[in-house]
Amino acid sequence: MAYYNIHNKFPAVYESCATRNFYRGRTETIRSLSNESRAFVDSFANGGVFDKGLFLNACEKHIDTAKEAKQGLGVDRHFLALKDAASKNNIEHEFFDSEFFVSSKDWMLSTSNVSAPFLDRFGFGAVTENGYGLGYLVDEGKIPINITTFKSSDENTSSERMKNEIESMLIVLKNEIHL
Amino acid sequence: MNRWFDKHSLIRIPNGKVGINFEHSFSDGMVWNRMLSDVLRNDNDNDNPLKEFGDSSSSTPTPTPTPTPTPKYSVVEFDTSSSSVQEAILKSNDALQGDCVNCVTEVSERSERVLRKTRIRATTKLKLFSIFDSLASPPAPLKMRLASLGAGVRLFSFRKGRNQDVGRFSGRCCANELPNGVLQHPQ
Repeated sequence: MAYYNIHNKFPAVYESCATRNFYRGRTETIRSLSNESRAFVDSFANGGVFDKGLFLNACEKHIDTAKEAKQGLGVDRHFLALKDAASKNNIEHEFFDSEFFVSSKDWMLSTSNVSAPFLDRFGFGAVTENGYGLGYLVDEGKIPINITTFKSSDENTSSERMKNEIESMLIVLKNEIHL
Repeated sequence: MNRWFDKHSLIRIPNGKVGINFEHSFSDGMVWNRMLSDVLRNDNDNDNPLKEFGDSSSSTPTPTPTPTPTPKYSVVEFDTSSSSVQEAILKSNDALQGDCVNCVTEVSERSERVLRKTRIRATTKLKLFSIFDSLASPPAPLKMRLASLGAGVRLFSFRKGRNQDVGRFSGRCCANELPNGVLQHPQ
C-alpha cells in the first residue's frame, strides 16, 4: 500500500523466509504481492474505503504463502536451481530471459524481519537500483524499520516518503482493526 | 564510511555497543542472529563454552539450539575469485585421480586459502570433482546483496554495557560499487 501510494504501481515484493529446517537450507522467497493483497490495495487506494474483509483475506493469503515457502514449496529457489543447471549445461531457454520472468524477480520491495531481544536495529541495502530495502524487527510496543534506497534511482524513490506512507498505513490499521 | 562491504565486520564503539556488518551472499541474518544468541547465552548454562565471559543477568535471552545433522562430507572453503586458485586446481587434475586426501592437501599447499579442511573421504571424490569443475568455469559475477545488523548487543566482555544504535548506512548503498564477486546467492 505504501509503495503504491508513492509510485502508483504494484512492485514485485520479496520477503525472506528461512529454510533452516532443511540441511544446508538458507532462504526461500515469500512473494508478498498476491491477488488478494492487490484487491485490498485497489479497494483502499485513491480515497477508497478500508475493507476489513479484503484486508484479512490478504493477510490469510500471505500466511499461507509464508507457510509454503518455509516448507520448501516456494517457486523461486526451484527456478534458481533450474536456471543454474541449465547454465552449467549450456542450455538456453527463452523463459529465463523473458520480460515476465525477469521483471517478476526485480524486487522493488525487498523486506526482511530478523527479530531478537538483543537487537535494536536491522537493515540491508535495496537490492535493485529503483527499489527499497526494508529491514525490520517486531518488538514489544515498537516496530523499528530501516529503509534504504539509492540516491541515484531514476524512479524518484524516497526513504522519507516511504517512511511517511508506512507510518500513515500503520495508523490506519490501528484505527480500523484496533491493533 | 569506513566499512568493508564485501567482508564481515564486528563493529564496536566505545560505549560497549556492538553491531555486525556482514556480506549477505555468504550467510543469512538468522545465522548471525544465532551466533549472537550463543555469545549471549546465560552463563548458568553449563553447555555454554563462553559461560565464563557471559552476562549473568536474567534478561539475557537463552536460545533454543537447533539440531544440526551430521555432514556427510567435510566443508570445503575456497576463494573462487582468485585466478591462482583456479590454476592450481586445474594443475592438480592428475593428482585427483589418486587418493583424495593427498590430492586435496596438495592443492592446499599450492594455493593459499583454497581448502582449509582436508579430512575428506575418498567417497567424496565425485563431489570434489564437481566443485572443481565449477571452479574451472566460475559462474558470472552476480550483484552482491548487502546487509547490516545494528545490534543492541552487549558483547561478552562488556558486563552491563549500555545500548545505542550503531546500524547506519552510507548515503548510497554500495551494491554496485563492490568488486566483481563470484559468490552465488539466491536473492
